[in-house]
Amino acid sequence: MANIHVHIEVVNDRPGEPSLQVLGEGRRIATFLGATLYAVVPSATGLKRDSPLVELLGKHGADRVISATGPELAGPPLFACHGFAMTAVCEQIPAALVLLAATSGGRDVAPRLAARLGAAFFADAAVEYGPHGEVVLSRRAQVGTARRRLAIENLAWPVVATLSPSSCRKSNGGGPVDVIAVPLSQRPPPPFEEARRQPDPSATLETAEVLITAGAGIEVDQLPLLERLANLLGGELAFTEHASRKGLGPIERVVGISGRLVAPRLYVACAASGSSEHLAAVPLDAEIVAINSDPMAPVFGVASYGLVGQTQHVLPGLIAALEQRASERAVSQPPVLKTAEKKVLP
Amino acid sequence: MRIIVFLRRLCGPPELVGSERVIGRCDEASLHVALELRAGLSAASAATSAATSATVTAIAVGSAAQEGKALEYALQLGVDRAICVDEPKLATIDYRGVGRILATVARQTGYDMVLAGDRSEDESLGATGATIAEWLGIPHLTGIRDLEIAAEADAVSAPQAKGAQPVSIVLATRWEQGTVRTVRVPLPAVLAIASSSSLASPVRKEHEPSSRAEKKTERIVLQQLGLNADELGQRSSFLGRLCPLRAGRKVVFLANGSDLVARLHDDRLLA
Repeated sequence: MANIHVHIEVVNDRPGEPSLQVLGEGRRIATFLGATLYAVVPSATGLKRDSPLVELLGKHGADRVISATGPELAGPPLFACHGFAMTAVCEQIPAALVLLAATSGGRDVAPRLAARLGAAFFADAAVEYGPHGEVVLSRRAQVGTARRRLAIENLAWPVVATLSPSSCRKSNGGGPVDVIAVPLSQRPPPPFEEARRQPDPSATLETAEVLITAGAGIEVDQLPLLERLANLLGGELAFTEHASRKGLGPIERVVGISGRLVAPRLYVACAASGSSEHLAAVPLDAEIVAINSDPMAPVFGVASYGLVGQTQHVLPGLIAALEQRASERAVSQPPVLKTAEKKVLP
Repeated sequence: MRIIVFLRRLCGPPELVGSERVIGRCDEASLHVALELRAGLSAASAATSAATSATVTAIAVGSAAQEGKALEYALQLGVDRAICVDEPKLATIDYRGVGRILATVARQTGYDMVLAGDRSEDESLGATGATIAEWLGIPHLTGIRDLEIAAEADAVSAPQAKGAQPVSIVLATRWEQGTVRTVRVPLPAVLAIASSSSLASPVRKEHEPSSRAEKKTERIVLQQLGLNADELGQRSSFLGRLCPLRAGRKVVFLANGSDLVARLHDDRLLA
């Protein structure tokens, strides 16, 4: 294994958090396999060794930084412009493994880059490290009922993969790195012209560590219970597509193949039977809690924990248990007194 | 405008897929987008007394016995043509090979816009649209939430009937890292549809059935495209090995909420 490239998305002159997380995982893979890790930065202007962006990339694990520049690369990352830069980099400095964050940009760049390079393509993956020195990309497949595993060592072809940022951890402690400027063999086309933009308040679902999803079995008068549950667990409330069509929640908060692709640590599915398009959007390493009145519901086939019962009966008890636990924690951890308020014991 | 929509039958365990669905959710969205665009262009043409110039062709690749139902469904919804590239060895072909087949049949059929579902429910790679575009050498965009014809009337990309509304730009909306962004995409292009607002309403809008009610699926074979399945890649090598999800681990049923909270705490899933 010679080179590993990590595509870096730049946001306000800084590496985006998902890119730094993937860079951290790239650092682990490179160290494990004895490879050189390059952070590849397509940007409008060239990078210097002492720039804050380059220093950050060095600190977070890059051995070297590759700078591919062009005025067309100023916009959000899409293959329409970033793909040309990544292709030029991979042609001049070939890599056995190219990693991108599983963001909207990474998912647009990666598959076509893989096709162009004649590489294997692996989407929304997590990385596993085997006891015999093997590195394996792993992802949910077959409607969330199985996993695909691809060992990347000694493959006869390169691999392009998007990594789920939630499965990665940032690396720290690296030092200064050199910058290699790679000229683009052809000028990228102009980016797609923007017609309009507006904030997306539901985007927080994509990075939430805890998600509570309301399925079609939920009634509208039960929504306050789910909102309370989400609040107690420090999570966000989402919906299946069936629930959204029933009028329970907006389409922007739907988890599914045609909705939000999410990456929580804990996923609570309430009265959701487990349809194909819903489960396929939940990543491999999420722990799923299923609450459903039907003990044979398909969701129990992929869940780690299950509660069988009607949600109107199950949720109040679950909420009460969480509230009790919260109050016990508050009691066992008294508030810290400010210095002026400390009482002197006799 | 010649709109091509690529479809595939819904794959997966029956208890998860369900018996009422024929195609995946994203494919469903792309099919409805295509039909809505056709309807919109027809309405615009009628308003200007010009001839309708939009057609929708649904295309699937795979065993005709399996993909036939997906194409029948598309015909019932009102597409103008349905084509099946009958290839029983599709399961052995990797994403690049599939993209090459789809691009070749698109080129042979003729297109101004190519639509595909953003990702499937089984493998969910999200690679089909991008790979087709690579083989066709045209732009692509993935993760599209809404698609509309732009109001601008630019130079046409294909011969149009006299007086027809020239169209060469579409407005595509995506969710991008906290922003909902709409961009202008010049045609021809491959557009991977994730969802459509028209599918969000509780009552699905029914499209006008095709005037050619007896239209049947056309069948072609790979050789007619000048391709050979044995030369189109190694799916298993590119995809990786399929393994059980949890190697025998089953769900733990708890009796009540208190037990669940205690278990989640013990397993360090609660802060």
